[in-house]
Amino acid sequence: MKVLQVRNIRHGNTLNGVSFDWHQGEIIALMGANGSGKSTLARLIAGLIEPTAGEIQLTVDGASCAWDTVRRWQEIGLVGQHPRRQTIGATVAEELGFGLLNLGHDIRWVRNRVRELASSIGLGGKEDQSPSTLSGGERQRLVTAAILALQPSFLILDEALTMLDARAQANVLELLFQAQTETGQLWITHDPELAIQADRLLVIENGTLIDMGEPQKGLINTEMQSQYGLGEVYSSNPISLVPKHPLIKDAGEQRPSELVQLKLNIETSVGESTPTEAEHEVPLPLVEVGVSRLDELISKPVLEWRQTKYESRLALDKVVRAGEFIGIVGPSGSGKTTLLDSAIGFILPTEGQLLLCGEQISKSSLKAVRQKTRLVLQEAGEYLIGRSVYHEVFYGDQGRDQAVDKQARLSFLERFGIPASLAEEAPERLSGGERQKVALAAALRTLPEVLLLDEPLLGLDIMSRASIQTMISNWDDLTILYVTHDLREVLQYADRLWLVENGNVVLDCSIQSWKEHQEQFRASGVRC
Amino acid sequence: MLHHLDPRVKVGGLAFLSLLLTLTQWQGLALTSFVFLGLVAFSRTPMKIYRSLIVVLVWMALFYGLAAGWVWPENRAFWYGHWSLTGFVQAADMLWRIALVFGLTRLYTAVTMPLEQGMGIAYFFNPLIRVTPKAADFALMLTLTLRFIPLIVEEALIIWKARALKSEWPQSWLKQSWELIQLIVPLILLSLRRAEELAENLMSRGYASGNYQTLMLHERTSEDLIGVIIIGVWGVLLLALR
Repeated sequence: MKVLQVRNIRHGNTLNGVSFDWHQGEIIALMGANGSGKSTLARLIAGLIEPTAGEIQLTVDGASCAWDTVRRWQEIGLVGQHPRRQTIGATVAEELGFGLLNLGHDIRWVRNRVRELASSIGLGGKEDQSPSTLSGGERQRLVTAAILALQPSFLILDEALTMLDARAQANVLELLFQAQTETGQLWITHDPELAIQADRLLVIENGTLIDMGEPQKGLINTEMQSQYGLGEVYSSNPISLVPKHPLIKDAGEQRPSELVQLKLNIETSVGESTPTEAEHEVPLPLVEVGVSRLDELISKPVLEWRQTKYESRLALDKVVRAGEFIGIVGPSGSGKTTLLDSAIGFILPTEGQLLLCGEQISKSSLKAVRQKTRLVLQEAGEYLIGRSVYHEVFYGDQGRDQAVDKQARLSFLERFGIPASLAEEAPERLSGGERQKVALAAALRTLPEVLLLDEPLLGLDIMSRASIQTMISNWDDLTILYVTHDLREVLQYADRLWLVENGNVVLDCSIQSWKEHQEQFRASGVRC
Repeated sequence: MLHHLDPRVKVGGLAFLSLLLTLTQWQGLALTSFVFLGLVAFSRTPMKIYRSLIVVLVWMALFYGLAAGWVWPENRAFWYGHWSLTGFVQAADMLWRIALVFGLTRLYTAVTMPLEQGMGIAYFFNPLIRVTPKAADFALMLTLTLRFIPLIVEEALIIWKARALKSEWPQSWLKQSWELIQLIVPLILLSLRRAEELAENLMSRGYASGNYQTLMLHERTSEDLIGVIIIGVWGVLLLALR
C-alpha cells in the first residue's frame, strides 16, 4: 500500500503549510475558492513545480521511498481541465502509447495494448485519427485512459470534468471508478455533486487545508456550507429545482435594475447632475416604465431568426422577445456557441434573415449590432487582452477618464468579487476563476439590450457563482440568452428553455413545463 | 486508392523517385510524365490544384532559359556570347525534372492529410535515432508543430473575437497599428501558456529527450504492397534508363 505524505507545504503567498496523507485507492475531493491554491497544490504534488518549504514523501508499506528511485511521473498522474489542450499525440494511438513507450515497453506490445485501450474507451477504429476530430468528452476520456494506462498509484484530476456534459462526465467517472482500487484519486472541483461521491473532502482556505471528513457530512451540513462556501447538493435541496415563477406585474414603482443603478452611481459620483437620456446607454423611459409599457416591450421581438441557415452548422426559425431569458442547453458540440455567435453577427446566415430589433443583421450593420448586444465568450477569462485588470475592464476609455472615475470603477469591480488590490495586476497572474470574473465585469461594464452568456459560471467557486447569479436575477429588463450544460443554473431565472442538438432547436418549452421534458434533457447529456 | 495508401509508402516513394529523377535520362523523364498523368487521373484530384505550379514553372523557364541558353567563348566576356540550341535543350531538361518533382510533391500533398504527412516523415527519422537522439527530438517537434500551429491559430481567432467585442475597430491606420501591437502581447503570452501546458503534459507522460518513436497502427494492406512494388519497378526503370 502506497501513501503520499504531504508535509507542511508552502508556496509563495498561496499555500501556508498544507499537510495531509493520501492513500492509494482513496478518492479525495478538494474544494476551495478561486485563487486558493488548488491547482498550485496539484502541480506541487505532481512534481511540476517545487515548494518553497515542506516536502512530499512517498511511502510503500510504511517505508519511505526516495523520488529518485521511482518514476514520479508514472506514480502520480495529472489530468487537466481542457480537453482540447491536453492531448500530445498526433493520433489517438500515439496519445495512448506515448507514456507506454517512455516506460520502455516493446513497440509491438504497445501497439496491441493501444488497440485494447482504444476499444475499451469506445475509440476502436479511430486509432489513426487525430484527437482534434474527437468531441471534448471523447478527448477527455482519451487523456484519462492514456494516463491510467501507465497504472499510476495516484491520479490528480484538476477540474477535469468541469467542461463535460453529463453523459461525457459519466463515461469518464466510469473509468475512474474502475481504476479506484489501484489508483488513489484527487478530484479538484467546485461541484458538490461530484465531491459527494468521494471518500474524503478537503477544503483549502487561507492557505491551509481543512479535513472535512466524509463529504456526505460536510456537504449536507448547512453551517459548514456557509462557513466554507461549499454550496449545496441539489439532490438534498429540491427547492433549487423549482423554476422561476411567472412574472408578476406590479403596478407600483418600477425600480431600475442593479446595473442601471450602478451606472447611475458611477456617472453621478463625480458631481455631475442626474444624467440625461443621451448620456445613458439604456433609454430612461425603460427605467421609469409602468405596467402597460412593460407589456408592450415584453411582446416586441428583439431577435428573429427567419428560416436562417448557417451552412450545415445551424438552422433556426425562432423569435426572442424583449425581456425574455432563454436558457440554451444541449450536449457538447451541438451548436449552442454557434447560436450565440450568430446573434452577435460573428457569422452571417447563408440562407434566411436574422433581425435584431427589427433590423437585418448584415456586414454593414455589425457596428450597430455590437452596440446593442454583448457576448461573454466561453472561458472568456483565458482571452483577456488588457495590460492590467483595470485596463481590461475599462478598455478603450481614455487615460484621463480612467483616473477621474477611479473610485466608482473600483466599486464596480468589487461587485464582481474583484478586490481593489487586484486592479493593477496583470491578468495572467490571476487564477482561472479570478480571470473569469474579470471577463464578466468587462462584458457587463455597459448595459446592452441583449446579453449573450456562454457558460459564464465555468470555473467559478460557489460564492462567486452565487453572487453572479444574484446579479443575473436582477436584470429583468434585459433580454438574455444563456448557454449552459447545467439546467439548474438557469431554472430560477429563465422564461423558456431551448434544447439544441446538431445545430437545431429540437425543443422549445416554457420553464414551467421543463419537468415534462426532463428525460429528454437528460438523454441529451444536460444536467438536471 | 492513393488516398488510403500508408503515408510511409507515399513519403518514401516520393523521396526515392525525386532522387532518381535527377539521374535518369529523357526516356526516364518521359516514363515518369506518363505515370504521373496516370496517377493524377487515378486519384481524381482536380487539375486546378496544379495551377499555381504553372506560374512558378514559367518564371523558372525564363530564368533557366536565360542562364543556360546563353553561351560565350572561353576567355571572352559573357556579352560576346550568343543563344545556343544546346543551352536551351539543357534548360528544358532541367525544367522538366523540376516540374516532375514539383508535380509529384503536389500530388502527394493532395492525397495525404497534413497529419499523416508529418507522421510519415517522422517515421523515417527512427533509424537516425541510433546515430543521434536529436533525430527523435526533431521528429517529435515536427508532429507537435502540426498540432500546435492549428491550436495557436484557433486561439488567435478567439483573441480577435474578444477584441471585436470590446469596441469598434479604429479608422485611422495609426490607431489600428497600435491596436494590433496591443494584441500581439496577449497572443504571445497565450502561446507561451499553451507551450508550457504542452511541456507539462509531455513531462507527465515521461517525455525525455531522444526517446520519441512514431506509433502508427495503419495495417499494411495489399494496396500498400502494390504501391511498394510499383514504386520499386518505377525506380528500377529510372535507373536502367540512366
